[in-house]
Amino acid sequence: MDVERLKWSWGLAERIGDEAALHFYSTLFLANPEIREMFPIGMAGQRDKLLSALGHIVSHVDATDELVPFLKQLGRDHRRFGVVAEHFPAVGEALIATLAHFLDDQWTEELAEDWAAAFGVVAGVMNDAATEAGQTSPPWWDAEVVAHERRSFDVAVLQIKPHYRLPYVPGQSMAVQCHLRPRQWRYLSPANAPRPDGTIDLHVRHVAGGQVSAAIVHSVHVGDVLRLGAAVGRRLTLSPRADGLSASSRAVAERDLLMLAGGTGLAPLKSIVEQVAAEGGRRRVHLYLGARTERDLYDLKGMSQLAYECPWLRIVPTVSDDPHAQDVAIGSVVDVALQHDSWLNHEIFVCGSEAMVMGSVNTLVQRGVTPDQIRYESFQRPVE
Amino acid sequence: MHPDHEGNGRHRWGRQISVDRIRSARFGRTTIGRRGFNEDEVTDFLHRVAEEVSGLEAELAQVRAENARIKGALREWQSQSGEARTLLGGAGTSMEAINLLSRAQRQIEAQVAETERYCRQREREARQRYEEIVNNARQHAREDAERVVRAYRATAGNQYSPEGERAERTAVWLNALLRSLDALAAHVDATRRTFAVEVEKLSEPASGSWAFPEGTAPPGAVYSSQYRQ
Repeated sequence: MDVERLKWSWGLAERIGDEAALHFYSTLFLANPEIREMFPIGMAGQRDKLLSALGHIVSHVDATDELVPFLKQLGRDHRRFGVVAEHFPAVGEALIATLAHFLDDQWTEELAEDWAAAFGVVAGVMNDAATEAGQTSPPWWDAEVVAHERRSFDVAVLQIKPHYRLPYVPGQSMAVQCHLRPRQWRYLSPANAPRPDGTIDLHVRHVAGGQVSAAIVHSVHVGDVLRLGAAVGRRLTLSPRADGLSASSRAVAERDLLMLAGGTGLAPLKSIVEQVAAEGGRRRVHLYLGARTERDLYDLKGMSQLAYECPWLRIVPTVSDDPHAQDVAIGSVVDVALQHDSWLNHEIFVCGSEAMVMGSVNTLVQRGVTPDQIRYESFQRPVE
Repeated sequence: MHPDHEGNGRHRWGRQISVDRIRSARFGRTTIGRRGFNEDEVTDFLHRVAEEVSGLEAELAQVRAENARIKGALREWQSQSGEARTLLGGAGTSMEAINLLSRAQRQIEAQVAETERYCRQREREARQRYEEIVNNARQHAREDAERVVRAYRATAGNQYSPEGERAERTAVWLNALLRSLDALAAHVDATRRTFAVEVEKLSEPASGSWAFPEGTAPPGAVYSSQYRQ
């Protein structure tokens, strides 16, 4: 396989961009109509994902250390869409036909062989990872809604019970699908540490234009069933327990925590607070709970109760835009937190809207916090 | 919609919220000493309105996408019917068939994008309006209540009691909030009318488009099962 030739040919296809992706899917669906049903009506987002995943694969084709974990995750993640081994050859054929079409007279026998070999490797790694995951977990989890409570104009708190235990670490998230919006997924984080009975709390905000969130907040009821993918993400999870670590690692793993939550960004942070409690409450936690108005502080009661039970936990409710607010701090979470301390020796978790997270991170760094103290989720999700 | 939804007593307004029902909605008073109206009931009511709008939006998006798909497929089918039928009948896929499918997909997406923009705008407006109403109501209620309480203090004399003051404050608060519901009802009425017009526009061309002779469905129709839920 000639890596340079492969990258060069991808460069040509990439320049055509969306049109090439559209052609790829039309070829795939025309030859395999049953595959169309695995995708949503609108395919624009799907085409972006395809191009970015292919781009990532081709640009890392000679860096297997990075590529293999990416492909394994991609393979495991495709299980929830119902992808099986038989689908891979169809995808490979459509991909090569598309490249041949757009490269036209620059397409050669050698390129066809390069791409067939590369696709064979990619499909092999993805499929092996999916098969391996299949030995320990189902392709998706169906979970019954056992409680649904609307807490504010656009936020609902749900409790769901997966039919099989769904393993996760506090701070992770999973793709969630609702029967009212088939083939549309949205990532949500459990708001509790894993429980013996397997139930999971979800905090969902109806975002404007958000199909899945609108359905879950306004139209889902107790008894309905949601579908969930496997838990993913390591950016918001707590460092490993201090036991058995070296003295310097232990010092880091036992640092006190600052948490900045914006809206339903509280969910993964609440889950981590429960984990700290389960591990004995050896780290102090300062949780700044931000919302636009007092009415949007949808879980103040639950968090106050938690703080009452846990002497190492401090809750600071904060609103940014409420002329009628009483008994809460006024301002953005990061500004209010910085009025109380400089947080130079804390491990810091930030979760909320993209604007809130990026704004908070920038402000903290400007005020002397080192970037590796701060944990937050990337808003780019190449693996879907 | 969950079958228990109607009977469980949480949503006493039922599935469809009509403007008349909104106007005639009555909210229970809580006992004196707490807030002056049953906040849960009002919130619940507002959620029913939001749910109704959200349901219409989803319906509208689906109808439009379906409609565009059928119209696009029909047009293509009519202009290229003979050719396309042979192409699709063959074992392989030809460039014409691929391009045809790609164009149909683009048409659907243009419709979906337009609908989404429309819905997003409506949702933002609804949220903004809700906040305005709630904030205005709170402001007015507070001002009214303070005025009444001042008057009560001035006139009560020996009759003055903290309970009496609270009762006066509560009554005024409740009335002010009920007045603000009229504004909300007018807003919902306007939103509903807009959606009704949109849905009506769509209903006509969608019917009858399925009348193809047996075995000659338009190219896009092989994927129609994706719309089944």
